Order: sequence, then C-alpha cells, then structure tokens
Amino acid sequence: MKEEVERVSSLASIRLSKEEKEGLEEDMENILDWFSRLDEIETEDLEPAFHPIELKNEMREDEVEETLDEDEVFQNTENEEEGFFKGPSIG
Amino acid sequence: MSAREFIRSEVDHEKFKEELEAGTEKLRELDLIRSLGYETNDGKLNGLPFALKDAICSKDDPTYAGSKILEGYKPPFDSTVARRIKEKGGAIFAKTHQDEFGFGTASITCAFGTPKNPWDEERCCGGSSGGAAGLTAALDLPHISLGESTGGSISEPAAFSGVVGLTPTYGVVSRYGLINFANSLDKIGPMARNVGDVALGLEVISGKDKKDQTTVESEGNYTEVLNKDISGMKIGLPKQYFDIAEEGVSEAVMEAVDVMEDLGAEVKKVELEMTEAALPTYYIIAPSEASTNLAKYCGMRYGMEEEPEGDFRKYFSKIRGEGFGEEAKRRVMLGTYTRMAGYRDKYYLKALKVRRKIINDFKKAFKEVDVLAAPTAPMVAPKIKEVKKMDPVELYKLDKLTAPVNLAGMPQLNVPCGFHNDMPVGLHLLGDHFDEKKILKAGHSYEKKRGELDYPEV
Repeated sequence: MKEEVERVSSLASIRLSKEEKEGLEEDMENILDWFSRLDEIETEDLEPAFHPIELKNEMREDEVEETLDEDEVFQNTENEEEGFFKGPSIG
Repeated sequence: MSAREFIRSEVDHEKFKEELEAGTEKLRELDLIRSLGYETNDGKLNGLPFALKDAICSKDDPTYAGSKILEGYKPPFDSTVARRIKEKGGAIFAKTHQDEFGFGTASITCAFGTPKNPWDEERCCGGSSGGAAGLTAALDLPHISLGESTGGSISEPAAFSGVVGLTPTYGVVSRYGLINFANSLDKIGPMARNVGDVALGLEVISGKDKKDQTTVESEGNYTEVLNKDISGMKIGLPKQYFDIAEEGVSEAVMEAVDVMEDLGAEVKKVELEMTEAALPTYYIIAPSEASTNLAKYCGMRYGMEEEPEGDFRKYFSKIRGEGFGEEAKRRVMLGTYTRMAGYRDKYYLKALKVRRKIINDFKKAFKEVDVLAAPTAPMVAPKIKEVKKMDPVELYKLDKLTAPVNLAGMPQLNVPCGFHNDMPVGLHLLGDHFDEKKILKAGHSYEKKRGELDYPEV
C-alpha cells in the first residue's frame, strides 16, 4: 500500500507528512478490504446508475445574462494583477 | 410559535431581532453556528429566519463548508435556495457548522468547532448537517434550518438532535451555489421542529432552475397534505433495518408504527435485501465524485492562498496538504484510488452497478407499499469523545440505514419518536421518487398524535 499512497497523493496533489502517509496506508488497506465485499454481489447485465433518476438532456436558449463585476470576481483573492488571476508557474 | 404561524402573524420585528440575537449567543457557545445578524425583508415570508448549512452560498456572507481551505470565502453570488428565500421575504441569519465538505457522520471534522448536542452537551449532533440540526433543537423561536444530505446528512443529525428533517428527491431542489460533495447524491433540504414547517421550507426552496439541469418542476403546495387522513395508507417495515438498529431504538420506532396503525394505516413487513451492500457502495461512489469536485481548491482565485511561486504542482500540493483536514484527505485519496486506471472497474463501476440493484430493491418494495418506516440511525447520538476514538469504518457505519435511500435519491423524513437512554430516537419515513407528499402526510399524522416535544432549555 506504501507505493499506492505515494502515487495517489501525487495524482491528487496533496502533500502528506510521514505520519499521515503511514496512517493512510493502514486506513486505505482496511477500507479497500471492506469495499471488496461487493465482489460477492452478482451485477452482470446491470447498467451502472450514474444518477438516481433518469435525466433528460434539456437545451435552453443561449441568452446573455448579467455577469459578475470585476471587483466581485476578485473579491476572494490577493493574487490579482491587471485584471487576471495570478497563479504559479506551469513551465 | 411555528414558522407557518409566524409568517401569518403581526410581528414586532425589532423585538424579534433582539430575541433572536440573544438566542444566537448560546448557539455560538455550543459551536453550532456562525451568526450573520438578522435583517428583515419584505415579502410573504414576513422576515422568517433561515439558517444555512455552511456549504450553501449566500452573497457576501462567509461560507466555508466547514473547511479551513475556504476560510474567509465570501461568495459574490446567491445560491438558488438563498435567492428564493430572499425573494420571498425570508432572512438568512446564520451559517451552521458542519463536517468539512460534508465528510462525516458526527460533525467532528468541522474546522471551526464541534457542534454539541443540546440534549446532552457531551454528545454529538450527528453529521454532516450537525450544526443545522443542533440549532433547531436549541433555538426556541420560529425558523427553518437548511441542511444538505449526500448519504444521510439531514436525517441522521435530525434523529440524533430530535428534530424533523426532510431530504427531498434528487433534483427537487436546485444545487446551484451548493459547495458540492458528490454531484449525483447531493440534496438540499429543510429542518425544523415540526413536519408542517419542513413542508413550508420545501415550498420555499424547490422548483426547476435553469442553473441546475438536474432539477425538475416541483409539485409545490407541500403544506396541503397536512392534517390529511392516513387510513388505508400502506406502510412497509423493512426487516433488515430493525435487525441492524439497537433494540431500544427499534422499540421506540415500533411504538410510532403502532400509532400509525391505530390511525388506520396498514402495516406489513417487506424485504430490502440490498441493505448490507449499500454502505460500501456509498463509500466508493461518494469519495469518487468528491475527489474530482475538490480538485478546484488549489490556492487560486478563492480560499487559502499564498504568494504563488514556483512550480504549480508543488504550490497546489502544499496548499491542499495544509488546507484539507484529515478526513478530507482520506476521502480524496480513496476517491482518487477507486477511479484510477486499473481499479476503476473493480470499485467505481462495480459500485454503480450495485447502486442500480439498490434502486431496483426499493422500486420493488414501493410496488407493495406507499411508504417505508424504519429507524433512522442504528443508535442514539454517541458521546463526542467516543466518536473521536472510532476508526473510519466504524464511524461510517452511523450511515448504515440512511445510505441506501440516499443512493437511490428517494425522499426521506425524520420525525422524532421517543427516547432511548434519554436521547431522541428518529422514525424514518421513506418514499418512492417524488413522493414527498406521502411521507409528509404520514409524518404529520404521527406527529399530531405524538404531541409536542419538550425541547431542552439551553
């Protein structure tokens, strides 16, 4: 499970301490073992239920509506520059 | 006074405001809420106070979903439910504490304090809408509290806190502006001290919304079923649920069933064979969806942030490592794992197929009966210090009786029905998709016969 925890924390972009990793190794082992109970259930010929009710795709008119002011868009960040969000480097 | 009486009364709003603000003092001490103040508002709701679960956005009000990663966030917009409340003349006066992003069954994962149960402050309020339920048990003034349920987060805290909680059918209430947990499972619903007030609450917030394409046209008029006769109504008792619950809990629920039988309902036993499979199914699907929803919290645009320097992977991982609590990390890790190449079929797709089987199980039962009656939770509210000692799987089991109906997206109503070990027990009434009126009718008939509940003085 040690390797899996490393891999998943990297995929999920969560930095974990050594203690957290050890705890998660144990927890995930137990929880995944518990999940394996579902293997005993016969599910052949069943469609996966992505939603609890059947949804119809509904189209609506493409109309212009009111949008947020620039002040409102940036009200929750300090990292704004010239009308853009500032983020880390992707290079 | 009920919320329904309040909206039709002459209210001295200045005096009411003072009373409400005095009441919120104690609610804060019990770690149930963050207060927003009370401002009345013209409209048919006559300034009726509403408390919103911390995951429900309202314009410029602090909304953190119980998470440190969102501390300080003030949404620049209203959720659809907040907009409907304001447009109809309601007043949003508090945000209620909850498990971080809804990840919990006892509200012990909230980053801003653990809600204490007004019936016994050593005990939890349930979760994840624990603050919402505790507030309603503690506040002896007309109000409605909105919770949100993914796997039982309205019914279970309502049962533990001795209040009424309604989880509507998936799609009846818009999720626009809800800080999401799991998109195919999340449902906003009302909590109150009586069935009539949750019916009113659903009237206020339900209805089709072009901003959430999973919504459906609402039937409205949920209060019209109050005071209707239930003679001839067929009530099914799922054997498996009574076997799982503690004896004292099942006994209290059976006494409520006897009351409904005396009122003319026909009671019969039914089988829900998929009951045991629901919990692992839920704990695969919900974290799988949550792990993608939580990808947006990365220290940009809103929430916790630092000067964005260096490589983006390092920056995102650092912020997420610091901002998410223990349970949030566990669920994101699990959900990422169960969707990962090589494991997706074994876990995620398998769980979705078992979910189909669970829905079919309920559909079969609802061919025979109008509503199902069962215990809401297997036990009464446990002590906070005991809950903190439980391992994750033990803690997840508090959802055992609410996970199945939530996976099926069917409506459910918790009505307090007595006590076990001096703590409230909840009767859970479950209905087929869009049968809110049937469970409200059954719940209201029972509640009238039961009589008023004596809430604890806090």
